[in-house]
Amino acid sequence: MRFEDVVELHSPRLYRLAYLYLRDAQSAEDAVQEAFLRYFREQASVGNPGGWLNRVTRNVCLNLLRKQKKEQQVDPMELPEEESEPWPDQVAEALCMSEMLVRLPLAYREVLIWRYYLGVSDHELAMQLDISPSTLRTRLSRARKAAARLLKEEEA
Amino acid sequence: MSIDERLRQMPEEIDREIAVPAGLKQRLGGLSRPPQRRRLPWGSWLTGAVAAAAVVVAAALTLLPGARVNAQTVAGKAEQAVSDPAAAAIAGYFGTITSPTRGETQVSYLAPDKLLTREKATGRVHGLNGKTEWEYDPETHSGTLKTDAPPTAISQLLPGFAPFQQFLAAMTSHHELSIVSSREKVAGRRVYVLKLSDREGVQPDLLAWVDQESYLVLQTQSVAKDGTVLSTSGFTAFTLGKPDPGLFQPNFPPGTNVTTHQQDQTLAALIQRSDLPVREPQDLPADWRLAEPGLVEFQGHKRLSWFYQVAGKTTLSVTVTDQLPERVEQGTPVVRLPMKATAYTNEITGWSGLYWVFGETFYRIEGPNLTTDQLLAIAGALMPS
Repeated sequence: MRFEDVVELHSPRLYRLAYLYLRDAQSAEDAVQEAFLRYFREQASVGNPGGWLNRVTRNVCLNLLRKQKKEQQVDPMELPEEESEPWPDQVAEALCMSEMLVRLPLAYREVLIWRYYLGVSDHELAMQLDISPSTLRTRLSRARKAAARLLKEEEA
Repeated sequence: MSIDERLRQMPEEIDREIAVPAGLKQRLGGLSRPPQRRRLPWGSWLTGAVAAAAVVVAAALTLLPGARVNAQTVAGKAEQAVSDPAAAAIAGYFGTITSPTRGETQVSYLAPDKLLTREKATGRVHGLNGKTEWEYDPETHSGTLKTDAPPTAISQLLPGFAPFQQFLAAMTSHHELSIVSSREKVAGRRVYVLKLSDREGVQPDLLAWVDQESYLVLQTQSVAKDGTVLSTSGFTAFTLGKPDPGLFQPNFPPGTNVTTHQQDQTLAALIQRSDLPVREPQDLPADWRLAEPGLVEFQGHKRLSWFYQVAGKTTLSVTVTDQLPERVEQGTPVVRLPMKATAYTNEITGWSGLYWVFGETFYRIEGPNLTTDQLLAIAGALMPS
């Protein structure tokens, strides 16, 4: 595939991915540009540009976040688990998905983005995040619960 | 609507809610217009691009009074020095570079394949020594060690390379390449200043400061048409010379949680190395292609995993580990294997799966549209005879 075709095909998704990580349009553009620069250099050895660019964009975003100190990576296992609160059965349909996502802690936001927006399997996602499958399942479960609460709160 | 139903709508909702800036592709501009490939005798695609620019734009051959320096020659040598410094007869260098994305980074390079970078703000270290690649993050007190895998290309980690690559990629017949100075200094070293201008006056000018001795790119800059400097990356200290070879060994502080990765061996080799009780299953469908076998060693445990794919879609994932999970999904017990197995459906993906424990080893297989009988057959094929 020609380089410009890769840009055409993947840049909108990568921008949205970067935006969901960084919550800032300008930083997201910077991240996508850096990802494509790396791809430009390595394209001869990249077999699956889409997956490769997803991973590189994530790495670039995490590096930017670390540098900017905008957001600490929090181990979701240390987040308070509000077991006493019921998990809402129903959530609102009209509320903005992206606004809900950017309000989530990074660790929760990330697993939801990769699972539902990028459609990555459990196995691939666990490898990508370098966590065990059981940890991933726990994190996904808690992320979905947090998402449901946020959407419910918004509705209220 | 349940949260699962809502989340499944995420792709459509995100695509609708987050508008991609109209200027994004223009910003990628030079990248989406890759240079024409005409090879010069030394065979680099880059030099071909430089030549193409030169053919169309005679002005690209800017000759400074008294200096008689050719812009395309400098650009060609710079590309070689940055992408393969050893081939460009650079024995080593060290210094500090400042960039918008990484802040201040200490860099040491020793030919042909050793590189160490350390980010000042975060303390993160990234090293290569030809055999091993490692990273250390003091914030999480964790490290990774990759052996037996192709290391990240040195050129990818070299500060200044990415902006210079952008510079080169932007070089098309629409641009004019020139040398605007040969008298400036960066980090105390004499440089040539290359300038790439968009003839249509749309894209920013790109500048690169190239060391006159080594031809390494010491600084890059993007400048808007109104003169505003958009970004600058460059060395603030630079020494051409060999750093201490002892720097290029993985060195983690005591107590660092180090994860070891091995990913470029065959599955058979990884199985043997892991010493986990598993065998590579035979008699799987002929069009199932084995993908991404990997062995991760962490905190005294091992995790072996791989996929099978058909036309890029995963048909089966396999995980074998000596780390027994604290909790697994509820599922339907199946006892047709020599050991007790449990079948389940992944509530998120809808995939079906099977897990079981044999001795001190946990196994999990999972895939779309697999029946319990198929999973049991695959499970049986995985177990050592």
